[in-house]
Amino acid sequence: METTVQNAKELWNGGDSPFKVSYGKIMIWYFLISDTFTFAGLLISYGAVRTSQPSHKEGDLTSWPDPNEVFSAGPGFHHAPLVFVTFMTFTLIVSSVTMVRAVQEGHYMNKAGVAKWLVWTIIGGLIFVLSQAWEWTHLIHEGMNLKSNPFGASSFGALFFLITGFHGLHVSVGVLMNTWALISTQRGVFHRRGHYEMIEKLGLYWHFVDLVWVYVFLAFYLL
Amino acid sequence: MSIGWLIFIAVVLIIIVLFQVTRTLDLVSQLRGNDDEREEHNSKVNGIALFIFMVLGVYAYFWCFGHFKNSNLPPASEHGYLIEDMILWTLIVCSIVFIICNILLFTFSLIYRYKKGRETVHFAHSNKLEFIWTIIPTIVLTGLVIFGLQAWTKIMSMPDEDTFTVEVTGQQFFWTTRYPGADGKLGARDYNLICPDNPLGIITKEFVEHRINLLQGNAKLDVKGEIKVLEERKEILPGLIDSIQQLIEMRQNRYRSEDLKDELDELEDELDDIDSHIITRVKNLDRINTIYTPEYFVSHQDEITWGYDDFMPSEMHVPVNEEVLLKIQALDVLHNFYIVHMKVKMDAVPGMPTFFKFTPITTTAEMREVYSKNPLWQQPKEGDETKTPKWKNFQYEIACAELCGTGHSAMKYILVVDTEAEYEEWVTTQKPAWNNVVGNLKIEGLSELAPKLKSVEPVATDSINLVTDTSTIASKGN
Amino acid sequence: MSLETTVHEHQHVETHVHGHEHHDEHHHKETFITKYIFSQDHKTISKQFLITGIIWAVIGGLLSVLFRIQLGFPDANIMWLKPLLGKWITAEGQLAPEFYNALITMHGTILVFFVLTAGLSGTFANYLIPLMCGARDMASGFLNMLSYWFFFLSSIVMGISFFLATGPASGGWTAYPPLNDLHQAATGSIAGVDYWLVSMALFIVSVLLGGLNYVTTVINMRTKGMKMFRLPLPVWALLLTAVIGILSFPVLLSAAVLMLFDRNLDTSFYLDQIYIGGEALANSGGSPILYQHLFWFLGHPEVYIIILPAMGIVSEVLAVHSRKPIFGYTAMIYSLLAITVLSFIVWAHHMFMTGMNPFIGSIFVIFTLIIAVPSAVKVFNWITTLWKGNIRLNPQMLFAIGFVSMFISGGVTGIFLGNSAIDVELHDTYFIVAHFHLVMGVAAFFGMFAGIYHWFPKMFGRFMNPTLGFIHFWGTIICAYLIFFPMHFEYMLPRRYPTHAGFETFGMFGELNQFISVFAFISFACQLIFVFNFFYSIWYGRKARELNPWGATTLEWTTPLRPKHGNWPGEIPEVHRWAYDYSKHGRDFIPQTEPLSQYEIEHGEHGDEGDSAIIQKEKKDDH
Repeated sequence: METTVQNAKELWNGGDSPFKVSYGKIMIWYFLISDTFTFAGLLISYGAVRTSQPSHKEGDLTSWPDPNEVFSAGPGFHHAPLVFVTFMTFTLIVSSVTMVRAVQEGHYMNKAGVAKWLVWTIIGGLIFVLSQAWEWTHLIHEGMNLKSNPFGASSFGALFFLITGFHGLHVSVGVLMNTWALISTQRGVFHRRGHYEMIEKLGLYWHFVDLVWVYVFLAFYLL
Repeated sequence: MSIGWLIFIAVVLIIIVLFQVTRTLDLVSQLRGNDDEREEHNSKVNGIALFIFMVLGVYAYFWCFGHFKNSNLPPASEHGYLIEDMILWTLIVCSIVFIICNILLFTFSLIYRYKKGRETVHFAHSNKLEFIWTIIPTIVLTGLVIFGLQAWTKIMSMPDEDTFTVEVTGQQFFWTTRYPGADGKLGARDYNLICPDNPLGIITKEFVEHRINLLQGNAKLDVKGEIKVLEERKEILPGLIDSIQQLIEMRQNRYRSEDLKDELDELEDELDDIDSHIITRVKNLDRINTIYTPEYFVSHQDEITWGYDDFMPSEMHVPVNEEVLLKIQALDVLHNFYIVHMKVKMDAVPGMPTFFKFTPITTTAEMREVYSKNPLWQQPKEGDETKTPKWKNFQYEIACAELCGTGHSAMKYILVVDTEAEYEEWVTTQKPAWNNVVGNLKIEGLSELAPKLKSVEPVATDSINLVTDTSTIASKGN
Repeated sequence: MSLETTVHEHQHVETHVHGHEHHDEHHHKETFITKYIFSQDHKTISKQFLITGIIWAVIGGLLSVLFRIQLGFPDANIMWLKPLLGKWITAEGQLAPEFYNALITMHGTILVFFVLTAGLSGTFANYLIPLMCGARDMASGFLNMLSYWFFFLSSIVMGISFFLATGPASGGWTAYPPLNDLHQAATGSIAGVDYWLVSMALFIVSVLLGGLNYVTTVINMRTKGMKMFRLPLPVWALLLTAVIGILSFPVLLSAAVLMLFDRNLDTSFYLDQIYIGGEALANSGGSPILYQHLFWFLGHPEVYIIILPAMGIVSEVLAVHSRKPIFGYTAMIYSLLAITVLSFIVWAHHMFMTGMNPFIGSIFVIFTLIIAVPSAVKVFNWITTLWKGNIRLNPQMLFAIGFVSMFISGGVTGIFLGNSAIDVELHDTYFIVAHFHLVMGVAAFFGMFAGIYHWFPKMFGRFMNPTLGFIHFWGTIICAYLIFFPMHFEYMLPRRYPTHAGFETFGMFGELNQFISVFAFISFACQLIFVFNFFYSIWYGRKARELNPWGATTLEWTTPLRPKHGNWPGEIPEVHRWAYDYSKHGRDFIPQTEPLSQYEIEHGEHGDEGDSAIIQKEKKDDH
């Protein structure tokens, strides 16, 4: 059970965890699978609603809007299609990289390293959430809301706010949990525990949120 | 106190008595005899009971088929026989499985009931047996799937384009059918145009104008307009609410003001909702104005004439032996168009027309003949003074088979299957829906596309100006 | 909970070992609150689920009694219920039609979700998984506790909706839009549906928290030697149930969120071109069919969430009480797996008549009928398990046998309904009502009863009264068949009608409906016997004195009579064999903890070698 090399079949014999991981990690994996289905449900609804509407036609306000037209502004600039969202996406991806670094430092039991990279991850997450808040405000000013959409089909607005909102909620929760992990790290909770597994679990969640964004991004900004 | 509560108390008492008796029995049996004996005794009693239950059950199973044979529906459509055959074959297969499995289950329970020292066999698995009973169901089910899908494809295949089409619309809580009239074409529809005189929202120039006038009002025609009426109501509501509140305060006995409170609640609810009703109507008007531009009437100049001769009868009639395509729609919530004897059943979905085709092969008169031999149809209807047997008044009934609200069970509609000749005669008696409503329309005049009707000629002559007006709009569009 | 007094008095076991680091902190001081209310002990949580489930079952059953009064005796004056139901009884002493709809909606929701999901799989997954796997507790006791309290919250919200002025949701337990989406479409849709949706969302959280725990515990926390293929079948069934729940409930969550948006924020995910209440609504672009797809992606797996635990329990009870190994253990597991996988790709068979593309329909026909194969295999295996056994016909065994019979009877009618051509005729009629009540309603209840009678001595240290158990069984099975078998002959009668009086064609079933109603009332009374027996036996039942009263092989019977938090006072026992060594080597049973003897070959290790060969070898050895 300790150091003996076991083949895959024996691992299932009980008295040991077959994947050599703790229950917490298995649980977070299952949670992420489950959450995937929630997002899948929403994205499938997006697909169903979208395919039932006419695709983009210039000037036709019942047709699906052109993302280049909808998302053309950022703080302080206009007429630059998708630039701002590219920045947001980039930030989120970078924050995933910093999270990887934090996990790595956790393996080395380097408290300061974990804290440093967690700070960067939290900053990345915050920038993303704030950018999203700015974009929402901007679009709401433009007249887009759950019921109407000046750029085209009104369902675009409803789906956009619902799905990016649900994703944004995930990011915000992630930021909060990372902050909590940062405080615990600083207090040496994980160090005393002898492992930084909590950071790994948060990392899994963070990468998942990042991955989901790719699909959300694809659905609303590119297609 | 009433009979219901008495029954309830009786049941409780019976349970208590039952419990006391069984507890005593249990205690007695625990004091006497050993566990094995008790186990053997219980197993024997229950084993025999299970077996008797099974025997009676199998007997009752067959008895039911005899007992209920008169309530079976004789199929009246072509695909009905297809379904009937499928059901028969499935029933045979399933009955065999059902009876054999239950017999084995209950018989084993009796034969192998607990006896002290009975030899049991450690029989944990047998690849051969398991293979057999995996493969047999697979083969049988494959057979059923193949027959089933053949029938399904036949039932669901789209008929030729020129098939006789009847449009069915469900709403809370009734059905409306629409026939294409003399031109053989159903007029286009738009839910934005629905109003009491145009219950299905058929698109014609007049209906568009009528709906606009109803919404925004028209001083010339002395129409206030729904939006205006609601706004006025909104103005006076706070006053009404205040006065009722004062009335309530004035009353000494607070129990006497219950009725007033209800009224107050209603008015408050109305005030809460009135804005959204106004907005809904304003948006409705906007959509109509956006869609029905002069260009629209030009580019759709054929379509907007198809609706004039459509008729909406109070009963659905179809000729026997001719394929009918049902185009099924809903206005508000889901419904399901269910013609019981025809084995026709299809959801009506708002915003998405569905289709079902069927060929009736038994006329209403013929079905009455069939039912004249059925004992269940000999009694007169309850409350029928003339004592006519029920079968004489038999009609094909249409129901709703998808929960649609409070009146779900009230969505009855009648289908009459005529002979070819009867049907032709019936069609000639049907007047287009247009004829009945044209006099009520709040419009300044008829367009040149509208059919000329003798009864409404005065209206038409009255507003020659407008006819030219609309035609100029149309020509501008060109 | 109020079980405190008894359980407290009879703690036999003083010693207690802390098995897992993460439980340590909860053991030192146990107050009433940490022990019985916010307990993290899986056994207590399981009892909480069970008792809440029983309370809801009584409520749900009562609702069915009310609408069976309406269906069986439409002309009866039920003014006497006015004090209870208030304005839902009209001035003429009749049930208001909108209340009838609310009754059937709530009956379905409560029974499907609160009783047969939370009450059945919540109870037994919590109770059996750690005990049968050999774990001190669930992976996370805290999440497990949250799982119960989310369920509790959810049921409170649903309970409150009964007292709304406009009544609870009344658009069917499936909550199809637009009926449930538009406030003006039905009285229950004014406010009731919001409560329904919120309650469902909380319930989904509960199922997910529970499910994550069950799966993790089975995968990670089995005791030494407990191979996956040594697990008792209930654990397999509960594991797969949890997997189904984790994958399907989130989709219902999405569907519910979309509907909450539609209802309260005026979006139009499920609405398109609607004219209602005299106005044409602005909503456009949505699809009511979308909801149905999302709902049934949960809804169909949900029926397996209900029936799999019952199948697992029945497999165990049948084996124990016929003193024989369950026949075809491996086949049973593979059929469970097959059902699990297939359950996700058959959902649209609920939607043959929605105007869905008929070609897609035919694909779902194929999958649907394939799912009958593993179900058939299970039935044949159960029957073979009885063959040449020594069957103790006590209440739990009777219910297990009753389950098999119900499952056969309800299962074969599924073959009619799965075939889309036949479904044209049977869709939304009493035929399908009869079908699903037999196959997942009554059958699942039978599984639950079998489980309760069987594990009651382990749960509460006392036995239930067997004579009342026999009365309960016979009353229930006779009533169930008399209610639901003849109901198949109403195959043309549309369901969810408070009365069929308007239709001549449906007029010939007055007597039958009366007959069914009478037996529904009797059946409900029989369940009260059970409820009484259950609560009475918790405190005053015959005390259990043996550790293993049924002679079962599984681990839960190796724990003390009243196990404390942590289950085993000493080390967790090690497992050496599968769970079904009954009547082997001339011994009545061999517990899982007993090592294999010299020549013994473990089941499943070496193919098809029969028992007789081994005995012969052993005999040779003796000479």
